[in-house]
Amino acid sequence: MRRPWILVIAIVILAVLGAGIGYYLAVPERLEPVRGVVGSEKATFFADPRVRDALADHGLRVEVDARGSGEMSTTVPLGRYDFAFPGSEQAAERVRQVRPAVGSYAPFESPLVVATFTPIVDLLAGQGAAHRAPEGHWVLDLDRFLDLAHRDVRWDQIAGNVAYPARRDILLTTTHPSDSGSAAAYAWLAARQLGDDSPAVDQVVRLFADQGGLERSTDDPFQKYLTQALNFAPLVLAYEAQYVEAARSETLPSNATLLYLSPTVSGVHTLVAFDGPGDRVGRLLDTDPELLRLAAEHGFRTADESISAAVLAGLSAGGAALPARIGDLVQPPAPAAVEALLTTLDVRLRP
Amino acid sequence: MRRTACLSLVVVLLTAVAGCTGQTRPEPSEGSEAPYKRGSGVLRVLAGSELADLDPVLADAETATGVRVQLTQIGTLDGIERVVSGAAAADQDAIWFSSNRYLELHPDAAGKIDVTTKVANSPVVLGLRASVAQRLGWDRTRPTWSEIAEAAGAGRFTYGMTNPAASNSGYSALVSVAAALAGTGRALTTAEINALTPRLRPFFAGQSLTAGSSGWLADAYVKRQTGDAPVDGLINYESVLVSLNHGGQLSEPLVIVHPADGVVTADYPLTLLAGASEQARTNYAAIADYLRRPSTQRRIMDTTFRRPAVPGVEPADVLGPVDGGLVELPFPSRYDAATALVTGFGDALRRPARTIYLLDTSGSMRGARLDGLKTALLGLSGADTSLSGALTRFNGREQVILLPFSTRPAASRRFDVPETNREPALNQIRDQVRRFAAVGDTAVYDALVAGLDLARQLDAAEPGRITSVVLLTDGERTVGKSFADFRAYHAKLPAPTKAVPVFTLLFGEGNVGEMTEISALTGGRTFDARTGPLAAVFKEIRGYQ
Repeated sequence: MRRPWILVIAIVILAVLGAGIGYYLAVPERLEPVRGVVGSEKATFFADPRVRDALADHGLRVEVDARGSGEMSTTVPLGRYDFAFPGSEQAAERVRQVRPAVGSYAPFESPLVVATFTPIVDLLAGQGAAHRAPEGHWVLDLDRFLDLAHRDVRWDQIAGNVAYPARRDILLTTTHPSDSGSAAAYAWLAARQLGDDSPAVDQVVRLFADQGGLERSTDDPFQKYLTQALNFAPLVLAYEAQYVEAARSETLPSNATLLYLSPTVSGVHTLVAFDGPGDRVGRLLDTDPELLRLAAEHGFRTADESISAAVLAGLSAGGAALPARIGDLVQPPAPAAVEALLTTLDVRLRP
Repeated sequence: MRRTACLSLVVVLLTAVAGCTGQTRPEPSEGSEAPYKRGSGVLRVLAGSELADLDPVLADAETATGVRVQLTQIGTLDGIERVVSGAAAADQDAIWFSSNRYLELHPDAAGKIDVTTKVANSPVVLGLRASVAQRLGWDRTRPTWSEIAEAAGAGRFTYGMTNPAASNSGYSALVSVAAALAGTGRALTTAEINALTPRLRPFFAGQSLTAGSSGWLADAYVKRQTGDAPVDGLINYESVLVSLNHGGQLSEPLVIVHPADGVVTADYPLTLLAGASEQARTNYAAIADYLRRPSTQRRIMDTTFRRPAVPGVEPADVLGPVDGGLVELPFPSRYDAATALVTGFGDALRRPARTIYLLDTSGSMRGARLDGLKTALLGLSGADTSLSGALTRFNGREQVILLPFSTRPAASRRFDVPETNREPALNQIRDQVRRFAAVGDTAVYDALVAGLDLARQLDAAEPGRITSVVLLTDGERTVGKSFADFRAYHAKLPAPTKAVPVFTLLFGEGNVGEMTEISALTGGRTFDARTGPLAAVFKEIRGYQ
């Protein structure tokens, strides 16, 4: 009569013990949570388990949201984050105006490039808008390209074009310059080439307005480049790091290749820390050898060129190695110099 | 005693197992994927009805993440309005429509939405019955939108499409055909849109079925194929069309026509609303992570035929051209142009509507109910100036017929709204509505027969309109013909009139069973107006007229 009850009690004790052990094992290590808002092109870096482990070694668990760099100073609720990590110094400056920083770090950069396809490069070369640099990589001649865009030349108007005879204007597919750092940098580059009189500004406006609806953050069009390939668009503005990362993870679409803009500008990805935990993340990204190595693996160019050069040397596009140094790189503009242009674009594109 | 012991043992073991599974993280189905992110509770999502087919995926997402996704269905336009007015943020955490393009152009949208996660892709294309596609040669060569428009205008095929003012698939089709016919190669401006009217009209002349949602359109197409007035094809998401081909309900498979000059593709952005709570953010991150895993992406493609949104998942063979075979057409880049397309569609492009309202003005409607009805109809006549009001108002070239009934059907009043200068006609409608008074009994079926008789006469005298009937009653039939009488009457109607859909409202003490049967019998739909304002339901019905 008593035996079954003993059995039951024993099982209850074992079950409680088992659940306790399970609970103990399931509770994650006690890491300090840090929240950041980052340009979407850096989201895969922060999601990489090796990056998470490297930060955990320093007691940090970093959770990030991906937003456009331009959005960070307009619609992002900065109050809930320990740091913001836009894609340019200009966007970082605007962030600092909205919320004061305790520190800023620029651990790596990445030049603006165009993700495209081999047959498309051939078509542009035929139009004199693309050529090989002396080192072998392909270059988009911005002056010549802007001229094609200005004349509203369509892909189906290129003689002998059977590769992509689409009835669409020859334009770069970008994000919205008000929301996203890459598009803002392209707007500035174009304006710099065209001059700053009012017809030139009209031309810059049309580089965006003629595309149709624009996405808010750089990784959105790039992901569509990867998944929909030429169905989505022939020429997609991106950071070199995005292309390198896709090449290394073998997710590039078939016939994918890379055009370097000439001139181009480098996105100096700048971490703006609002408090102690955010500052620790910034300092680690700037100095920790493991994190710098991982940033290079994700395609970013580090201040110590030897770290990123090893990664870039292993990759090629268009039958040539990626350049160790970017030629025809212009200095990024002073934040104030972009401000007026972006305000004009915002008014013209969002009536 | 022994049995009690055994039972206790089972209970204890189950408890222990449950305790363990509650604490350990389930492993992802693909070995290389990281552990699932966890949240808890509910993620409240305002969503388009076309996402209901992801319910099984969301059920598994709950097991993996601990987050239950609660979808509240709403039309795209009403959704946009709730987001920009801030109403959505009051009771929802996120939104999920097939596209955010129109929303993001809205001047008040900035600051209302936060993080966005693209979940899938599906272009809006044309599906045609195989025999019709063969007759047109489109099973062998892909036509351009111009060729499609020409054939539709010449009556060589008929099709169904959702209303662009209510549903994203119809809106995407409108953008595609407009951009393709303009042929400029860049985003359309308002001035260019107005100039396109004469060239776009023939395309819409071929439309014989409309709907307020993509899912209902597909269902209506299936029902119609066995009736007296089948439709040759429908414009919808590629995912919906391929699903129909795999659903076993078609008497003839659809040939999926990907227009040669391009498409507009939906990208299903799951979007956090600004101001969401920290718990909602955690839940959102867990669900977004789950949905973009390669294993989930493959499953979404295999079960719903949407194309993947992450690299590394090969598109299924049943899906259309890849690698540049489909060109993405430009969406308008400005809000005014995007809106001009919708209003232009209603006032100038679409096949004009003949809209018959059968309105119960019996004694039980007195008071708040009649006031609600008046507000709803005055709203459609121009008093509602909100975005959804502006896009659901009575259109230019529309024929509006008001037929109040109580003990008997009253004399009907017909209002022909001209293409331009609509105001005098709308004024007359408003005057008529204000005069409604509630008195007498409820002759539901006498009114329904009168309404369909009217539809038959008017359609015979002036064919070419899209005719529909709306029936509002707040009570049971008390006098006149019975439901059985109506069924017998309906069976003898000529085919075109038999295909006139009757949209019924569940309202007050109306007979739910009969209202549902009327809409099923006529190919209409039943709308529930028992809890919300009548005006909202009247606007929703506009998508189907």
